[in-house]
Amino acid sequence: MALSEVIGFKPFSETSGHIFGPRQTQLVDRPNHYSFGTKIQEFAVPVGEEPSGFLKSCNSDGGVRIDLNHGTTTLAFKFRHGVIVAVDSRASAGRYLASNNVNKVIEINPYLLGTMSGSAADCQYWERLLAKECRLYRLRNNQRISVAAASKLLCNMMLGYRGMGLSVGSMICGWDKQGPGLYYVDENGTRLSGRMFSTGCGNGYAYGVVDSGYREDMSVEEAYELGRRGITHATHRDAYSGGVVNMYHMREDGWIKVCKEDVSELIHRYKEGMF
Amino acid sequence: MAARYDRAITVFSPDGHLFQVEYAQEAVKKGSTAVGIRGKDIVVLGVEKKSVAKLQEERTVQLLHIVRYICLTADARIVINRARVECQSHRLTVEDPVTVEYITRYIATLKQRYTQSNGRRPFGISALIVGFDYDGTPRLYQTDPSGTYHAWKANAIGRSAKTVREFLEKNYTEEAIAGDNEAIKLAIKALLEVVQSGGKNIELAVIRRNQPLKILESKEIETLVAEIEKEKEEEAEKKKQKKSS
Repeated sequence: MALSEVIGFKPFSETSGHIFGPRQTQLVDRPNHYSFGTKIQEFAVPVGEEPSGFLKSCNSDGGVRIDLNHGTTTLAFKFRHGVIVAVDSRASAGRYLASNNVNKVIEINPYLLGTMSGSAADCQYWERLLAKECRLYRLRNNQRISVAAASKLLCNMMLGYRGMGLSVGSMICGWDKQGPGLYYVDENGTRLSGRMFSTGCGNGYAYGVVDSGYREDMSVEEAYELGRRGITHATHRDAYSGGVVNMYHMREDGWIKVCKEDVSELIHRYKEGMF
Repeated sequence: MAARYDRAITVFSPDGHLFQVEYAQEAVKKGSTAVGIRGKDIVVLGVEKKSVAKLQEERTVQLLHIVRYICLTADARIVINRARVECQSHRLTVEDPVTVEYITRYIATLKQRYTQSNGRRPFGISALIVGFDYDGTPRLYQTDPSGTYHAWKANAIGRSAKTVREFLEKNYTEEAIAGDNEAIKLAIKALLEVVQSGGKNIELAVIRRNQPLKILESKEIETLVAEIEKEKEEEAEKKKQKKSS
């Protein structure tokens, strides 16, 4: 009611504040204002416990070991004919190999892709939420969301839960009115625009390969080969990456899935004579 | 009958009216006239300047940046503030300036919310919102107290809006808006229909593509009014000659 707003009286929220902790649950539909800021969260934070402290206790020796799905190699780079996105497909929980066939690229819409690295659960949840917001944007404003705006939405979501133990290293790639777009977003709220990124624990190996083979005027086939090599060599050396290389090519008329090739076959092709 | 259903905004009357909203629209009709015209490369907003009391400072009245609101100026200030914040918020999150349609939709949603809450009254303002989208298309939108909005090629609000709109319907042609000057003159002509003492009581703002808002000085308006008078006389002369010959 208007009067309660004027005098600042908030009867309900006071009590729920104690139950839910400092950030409150409020499912408010705000059709014209992006609610992904620090004010309104999607769900409540558990009371009492501090999530990042709790997670630390799970990982250290002596405590119960709960290893979340981590470990990956993803890479993306812009070149003359668009953006190449290549990811591996391994999910590990500590030393246990949970799956060798995980899909680490989320197809938000025909012009937007998101990659996932870090905690699989976090990435899958938040990027699906991002896909929902992108779709709503398209419905409300009659035009597709720009890559900058999509990455900013994800970044604001991350900032809303900063310090609570999220682990997300994502690259948002797309093609919008400004041309090809590539943004790196992580759980601290870092958001960087760039020509080439690689994330995950195998990123060092991938950077080495892609940095030495990259030329802006590569042909499409050369770019595919470079992406494949980057992931393959990273999976060869990094224990937590493996499985298959999933590669996408973002073009002006949308993305296409280029290939899904097993790294064990690729590594033999690239390192002939070494085995 | 109306008396029983017009006190609270949230009560429909048996024949489907929201009387408070309609009364708000009446309040709008008491405000000074404003006209908006969408040209090809220019958008024009013109208002009738209310005569200012002798001791009052003139600048605190009338034209407010980009948007023209009619009637309850106090209400208008609130809405404009929210619209400004929303524009910046949009720029921050989406890294692109708002389209005219977006901000119109925001203002309209805001107004509609006030027609569906208890303890509040509707905003007593109609707005003409003009501008260019970032792809260069000129736009003109109108909102009213009920929260609806429409796109227009040319429209008028406020007192005598009907007269001005009829004039525009007759005279808004492709040639009438062919050039920037023509569009401005059309706005002035439309206002002269209803404004009492001519050019002195008209205030005009124009936006050309990729240029900031410009409020015309009274000298420029006087010049244009003089041109219009001359054209009128020439027209009258021609007609006379045709009749006599």
